[in-house]
This record gives sequence, structure tokens and C-alpha cells, in this order.
Amino acid sequence: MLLTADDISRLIGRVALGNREAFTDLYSATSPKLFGVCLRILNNRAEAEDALQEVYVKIWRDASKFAPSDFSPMSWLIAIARNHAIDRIRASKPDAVDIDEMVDLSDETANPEKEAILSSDRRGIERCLDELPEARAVAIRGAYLEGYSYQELAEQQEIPLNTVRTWLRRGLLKLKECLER
Amino acid sequence: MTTEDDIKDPDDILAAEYVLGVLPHAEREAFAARLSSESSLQSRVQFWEGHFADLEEEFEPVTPPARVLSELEAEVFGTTGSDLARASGWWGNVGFWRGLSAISLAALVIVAGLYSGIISGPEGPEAIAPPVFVAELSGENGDVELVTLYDARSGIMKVNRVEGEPASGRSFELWLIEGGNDPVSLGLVPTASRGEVTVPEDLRDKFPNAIIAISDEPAGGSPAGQPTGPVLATGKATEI
Repeated sequence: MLLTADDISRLIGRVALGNREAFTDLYSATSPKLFGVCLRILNNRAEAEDALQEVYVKIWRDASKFAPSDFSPMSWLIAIARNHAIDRIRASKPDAVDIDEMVDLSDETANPEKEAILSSDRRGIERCLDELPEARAVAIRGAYLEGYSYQELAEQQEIPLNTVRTWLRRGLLKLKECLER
Repeated sequence: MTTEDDIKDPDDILAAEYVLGVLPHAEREAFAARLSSESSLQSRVQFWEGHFADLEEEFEPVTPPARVLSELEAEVFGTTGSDLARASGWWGNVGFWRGLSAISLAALVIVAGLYSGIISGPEGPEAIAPPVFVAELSGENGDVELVTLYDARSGIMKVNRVEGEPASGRSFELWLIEGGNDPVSLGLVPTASRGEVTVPEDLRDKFPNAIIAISDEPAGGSPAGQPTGPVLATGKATEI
């Protein structure tokens, strides 16, 4: 079932009023995407199925909190699914070691050359990730799409666990600077 | 522009880490707890969620197995039916319904007043309330009694089981009988004593002059599309 953003907003509105038919319609229209999110982050079918069910229970309860002006309805639903999947994975695999608190985040040299060749029509986050040193862009993208923890990022990037947080935070600050431009 | 102050703002970077999902469990929980009450954090989180949302196209849709939906419906509708009833006041008041059942349709006038007040109140006096139908279902010996209230606006039929419940391994099934036609299933009576049934689209205009009935069926409902067990209670749908 292909629905427009307005259709999905309306369905969420009716779900907020306790309409069961709307809830089932919303599930039919959106569950493949949200299941894709849970699967990608949890990397385990059985867990993803459980998570998906919990996500829709949450949607049923929290539908009245949806504010169409703040978000596209799909983004709102995806954020609920992502957050829930990440909560699950963080709760099941707590970080073994304390990681560094924020230390000096003083500037690193930008990459003006790379910046200059980027086309301006790319969307904000893609354009700004391209401006980052590649490893950091890969790490941020991986954290968003795969739900990697600091520990996993440290292993993948071969960075000591006690500095990975500062390393990633530098990337996030740069990202913000670019997004606000 | 990012000012020096922004860079030193620990909440902003925490918001980014929270949205990205990298925070360790305890910190994540602590941040989430603050988030529910601090609006400045909420707008920071919105900033990051809004931007990262552009990456969400990369999540490939995967159709979940059908059992997820059936388990979900059992969980959500099975447990919230009574919550909704509790929240809606008179609808959830068993005493009210037992009394109504006893004094029968005369009391529906009162219900009509209450109900139209609830559904048309916010729209002002000019609004024409869509039809609402009440049916009081009773059997010969009073073992089974139900009251249903169908709101044509939402397509939802509220079902209040006043007396009787299905035997173990059996279900009560609701039927709509229009004139001399065969009964058409409206679905199962919710297992909770108060619940809701969504009326199929093609039956929504059949309520004037309809009889509502329930029959005793195998768990999950009649396999035949027609009642297979005894009809336990019937009642006429009355517009209020």
C-alpha cells in the first residue's frame, strides 16, 4: 500500500483517537520500512520481530504525541523504531569499558579542497558528511544505519576505545557547523 | 555559524550522540529521562533527527511475517479495550449497563442525550451527528446479554458483554442480519468484557433495521461464513 505523507499523518491522527482500523492500516503501510530498520540495527530476525511488535505498541500509545509540523510522519515512525531497536541493543550489550568523557575538541584542519568540488544540490546531511574526514563520515553513517556503539566503532576504525568518543564528537561538531551554514 | 559557546555546549553534542544512538546504555537512559521534561533538549534532538532523517532512505523495507500483526493486535486490542472503556466513563460502567439492560430501551433516550453530547459537543449545535445505533442483545434465559453501540462516523462498534462468556476453546461471534438476508459476520466479540469491533466497510450502511446477533462458535470464529453454533442472543439495532 503506497500512501502519501498526508495519508500517514491522517492515519496517525485516527490512531491517536483509538481507531483500530486505522492502526491496522498504518501497520500495513509502514511496517516493512520499520521492520527493515529493526532488522538492520538488531541484525537478528527473531529480535527484530519482537522489537517491531513493541514499536507498534508504542506507536498505538504515543500517536497523540505526533506533531505533523515537526516531522514527516515516516521520519517520526522511523525514529521510534530506531530508538527502540537501539535501546534494545544497548541494554543487551552494555559497553564493557568506560569510554572517554569529552576532552579538548579544538579544531582540526578542514578540507577545503574536497569541499570545493562537492555539488551543492546534495541534501544537507549527505553534503556535510562528505565534508568530514572519510573515516568519521563512515563511522557516523554506520552508527545511524547499523546502530554501532562506541565500542564497535573503536574496533572498526582501530581507534583506542578511550579516545573514540572524542574522535567522533569532533566529527559531530563539524557536521553541525556545516548543517547550520 | 557555530559560535564558541555552541561548541562548548555539552547538551548539544549529547543530543547528537543520543540521536545517532552511540551513547552507552546508562547515559542513553539518563538522557532520555531528561528529554521528556526539558524542551531545550527536545529542540536539539529535533535538529539532529531532522537532518539524519535524510539517511533513512537507506533502510531497505522488509515485509514482516504475518504473525507479528496478529500478536500485536492481540496485545494492543486485547489489553486496551478495558483501558479505553475505563477512560470513557459511562461506557465502562458495568452498573450502568446492567441497569440499562434491566430497564431496556427506555433508557436509550438518556444514552442518546449523553452520547450525542459527547460526539457533537465540540462542533457546535449545527453539526449533524452521524447516526449511532444501539442494540441490546439478550437470549431466552438471560445467560448471555450484551449491549452494542455502533458509531457510523468511526465505523467502530463498542461491545459490552454484560452477562455470559464463551466456554473454554469457544468464541462468541457477532452477526448482522438485514431483513431476510443471511447473517454476515461482524467479527468476534472481544474477549475482554468491554471492547470494540471495527465494522467492515461494506456493512456500514446496513444498520438501519438490522438485527445484531451472537452465536457460539469454535475458537477464532465460524469456519463456514455462517453461524455454526447456537444463536445465544439477538437484538434490534436502534438509531439514537
